[in-house]
Amino acid sequence: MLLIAGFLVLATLIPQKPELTKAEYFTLKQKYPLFTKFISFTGLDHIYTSWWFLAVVSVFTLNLVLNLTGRIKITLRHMSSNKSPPSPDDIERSKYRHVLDVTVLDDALKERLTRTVSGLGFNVKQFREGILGTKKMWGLWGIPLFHGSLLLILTGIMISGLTRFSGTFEIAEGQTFSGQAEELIQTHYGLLALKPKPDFQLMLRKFNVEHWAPEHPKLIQSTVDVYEEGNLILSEKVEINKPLKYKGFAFYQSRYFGHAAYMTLLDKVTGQSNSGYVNFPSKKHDTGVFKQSFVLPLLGYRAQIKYDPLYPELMVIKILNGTEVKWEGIVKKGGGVDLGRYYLRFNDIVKWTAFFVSWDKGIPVLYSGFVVLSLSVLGLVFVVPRRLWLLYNKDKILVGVEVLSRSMETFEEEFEKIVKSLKESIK
Amino acid sequence: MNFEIVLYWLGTTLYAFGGILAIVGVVFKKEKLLSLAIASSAIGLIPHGGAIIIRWVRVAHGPYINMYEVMSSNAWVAMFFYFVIQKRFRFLVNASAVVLPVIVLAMGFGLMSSARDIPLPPSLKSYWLILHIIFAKLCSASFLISFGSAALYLYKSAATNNPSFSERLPSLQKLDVFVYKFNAIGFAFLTIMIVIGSIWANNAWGRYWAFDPVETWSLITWLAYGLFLHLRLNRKWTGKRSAVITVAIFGLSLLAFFFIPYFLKTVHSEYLVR
Repeated sequence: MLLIAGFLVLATLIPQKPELTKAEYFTLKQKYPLFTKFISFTGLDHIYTSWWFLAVVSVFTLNLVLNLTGRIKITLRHMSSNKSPPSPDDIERSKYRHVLDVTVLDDALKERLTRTVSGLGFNVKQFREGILGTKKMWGLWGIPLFHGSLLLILTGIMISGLTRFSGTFEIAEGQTFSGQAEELIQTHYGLLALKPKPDFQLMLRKFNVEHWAPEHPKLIQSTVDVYEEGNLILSEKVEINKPLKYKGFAFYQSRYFGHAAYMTLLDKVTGQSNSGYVNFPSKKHDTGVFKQSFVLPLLGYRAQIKYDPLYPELMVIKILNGTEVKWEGIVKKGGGVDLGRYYLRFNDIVKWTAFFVSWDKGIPVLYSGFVVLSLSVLGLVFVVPRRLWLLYNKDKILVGVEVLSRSMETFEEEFEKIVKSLKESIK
Repeated sequence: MNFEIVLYWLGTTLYAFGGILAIVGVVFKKEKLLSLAIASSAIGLIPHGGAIIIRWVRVAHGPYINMYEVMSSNAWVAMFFYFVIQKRFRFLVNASAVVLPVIVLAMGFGLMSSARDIPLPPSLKSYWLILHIIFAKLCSASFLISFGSAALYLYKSAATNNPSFSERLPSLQKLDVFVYKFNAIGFAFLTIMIVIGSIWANNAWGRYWAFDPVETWSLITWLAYGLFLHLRLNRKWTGKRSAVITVAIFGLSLLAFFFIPYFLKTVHSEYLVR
């Protein structure tokens, strides 16, 4: 645990390669060449994926497995001993002990004692030798469950790390995502990732942003339609904190959004057309002029476009062939630019947003581990299993109470209460 | 100065007054002063709570976005938690000499942080976040009480030159048990806080763990408290050793939750330290 904690500290203090952009890493290399060489050689620049960190985590996991088996054995032993009659050994090893003097130890008294112990919340078993009371014995499973849940979580993380697939895609209103590799950016595949392909299409029907103030968005919401073989299957509103989950894929709303120009390039000779969306970069404020440039397919010309939300019907277009300006002017929605054989049409201005998509089979295992972990840790702290023995010994009753949770070290008050109740019942 | 800040200052003043009374009461063995300290601080909860509610209504979200709100609500929860606990375990009234000054420090830290209103961003609009924060506050309050008990333990075990003061304190055995119990309770809350934070992150961004610095330091704190529990239960590290470790890991938890967001780029500092 100490080693893992130490490595975690280092990982937050030393810049980690996966978190740096290539430019940032290059700057670091230029500034501190020796340091960069050292951390690169030792693997300190990618601690979480270094062999020595994974080895420490493996040892920790092995320790958990061994601990768990030991704990299960101890718990089962405790549970099975609940069937045995009280013995002097039980009293001897009890942390809390008391001796009750009685004049006549008859059946009526035994019955009264049984009722008292039962009244104190214990499950009572009567034997010829005495009484055995048990309380909240299921709490004994707290420690094995706690360690077991950690194993479950580590298993979930392992499944996730090996098979997870994730990526980001930008999509404009009216556009469809079908899961092709070229649609995705910043993809991540686990070592054994199965590269799942969705057999459905996702269309962004509408995108909506509301603001508290210019810099503070209140709502970022996409209305998406899911199609299978051309049939609409479902429509859902996706927001941050409200992902769309469908057929093992999860689609998360990104906080990035902007305007997109929907344009068509028409070949007047063949009649063929090529339509697409050109996304303007995302900005914190939805004001000012948005600029973008792109290469026209077939022609190879570069197009520069400018858009101002104050004039939603207009766009400034500049077409360049190298440095030569082929065309420049303002185009109205529905209008276009004549480029000889080709015609570039400005269809519409719509909104675009981004989604993060993931496919992760480790999540159900991980969440099961989370549930067990939370319940077991609460059980460990707040559920105290205990066992009470009353051993008949001629004119005496030997009382012993054992607290079976190591997390509870003081029990004096409750023990005094137990003894007081027992004394009252033998009066 | 708006009414919210007036109430905040009133609460802080009452806590500070309570803290002074608590220290004087413990030093000079004045039982009455200790009761007055608790009463003053308990009254302080009212204006302080009022300040939190006024802000809550105005900004339309709970007190958990920026550092001012976090420190203010943490101090309120810790004060309330301590007030309830000391009612149940009367001997803990002596711990007020440690707990109240820490609460005053938290209030002061809040006052020095930016208190500007930040409307609720979409990423923080989640029930998971509310649960995450509730457990964060409960674990902070538990760790504060265990720290208070540990500090008193260390003082009492070392205070041979001022026996009158240490006599006022609970027995070393009782303090030791409280150090352990509140560390264990805090550990349970910390575990649930991390679990819920992870579920929330997965729900909001599609990743349950991103090695964000605050995430990582929460895990480091969890490992540290886990280590404490193992040493206590398996190696029988009790008494002074247990108290020293508690003081150290309480410092670690403060570093993780309140200082790391200032030094390292983290998703937790996006609104917290602005």
